[in-house]
Amino acid sequence: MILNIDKNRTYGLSQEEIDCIIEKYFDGETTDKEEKLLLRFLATPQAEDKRYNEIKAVMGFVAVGKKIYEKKIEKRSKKILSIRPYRWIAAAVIGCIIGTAGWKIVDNQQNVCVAYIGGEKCTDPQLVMSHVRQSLHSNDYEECKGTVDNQLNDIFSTISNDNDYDKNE
Amino acid sequence: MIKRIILLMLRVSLTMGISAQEGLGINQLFGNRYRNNRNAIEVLVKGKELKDYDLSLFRSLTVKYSPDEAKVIEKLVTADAKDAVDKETGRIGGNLYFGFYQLQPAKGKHRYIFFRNNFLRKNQEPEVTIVYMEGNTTLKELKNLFK
Repeated sequence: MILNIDKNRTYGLSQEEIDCIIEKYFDGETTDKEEKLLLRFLATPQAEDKRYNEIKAVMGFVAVGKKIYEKKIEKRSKKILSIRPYRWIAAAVIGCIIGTAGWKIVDNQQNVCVAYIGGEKCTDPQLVMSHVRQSLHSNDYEECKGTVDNQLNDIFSTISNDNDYDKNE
Repeated sequence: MIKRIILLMLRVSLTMGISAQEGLGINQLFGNRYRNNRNAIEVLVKGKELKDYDLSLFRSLTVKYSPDEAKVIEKLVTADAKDAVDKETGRIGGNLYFGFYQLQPAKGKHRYIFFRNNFLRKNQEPEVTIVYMEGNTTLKELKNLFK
């Protein structure tokens, strides 16, 4: 950006006023407006005098420092902005994992179909259900290969039809 | 916060795992006791596979070639059946041949134990079977369903 500076102007300030502002600057008592005026003045040919070298150096140093500081702040805020979405994504992923695991645990506890046949674990639902039928079957497994209904019926037929025992009700 | 959620989930899942079967003597028969036994078949079914029967839990244990085990199981069944609200039993020579018991409901669920000792009868597979069923179905419904 090119500043349009009037080389013959001291922005309505006398030499004494400029010196006064410089003094205030070193005391840290200048306002923003005064600092701007001072900066503008230091860019004019009138400020080429050696006595303004010190203020130029200090103001230059401060300006550079400010820029570095602002850049750092900018970077930090960018970092914060870039970290936050990752945090949310990570939280969402963890939430999903916990949710899925929780659902699996609950589902596994609610829906179980397992048999231990001669010491071996079996999780095939059809085979397990066939053993459910067998568990409920009394006499001849071959007879009731069909449905669970038939198999369970056998329990009740055992209760009602078997005459080979002393029945108590 | 996450720790609390995980703990809560664990508590919920553990609570859900506790069935009305807890507290029964026959409970000790199911689990690790016979799972590695070559002459035993243990079945555990819960949930959707039993939906058609209005049952929520089916457990069975069949032990072959071991009349001694039959005696142990009979003892446990008889003890659990003391407070049965309904029962049908059959005896052979003073031993329990079969028993069908409806226990006191627990946690709003009907509970049934079926026991059969084939060791007491000739020409039958030498085995003892115990079945535990739990669910909303009534004894009458069970009988109607399977008659």
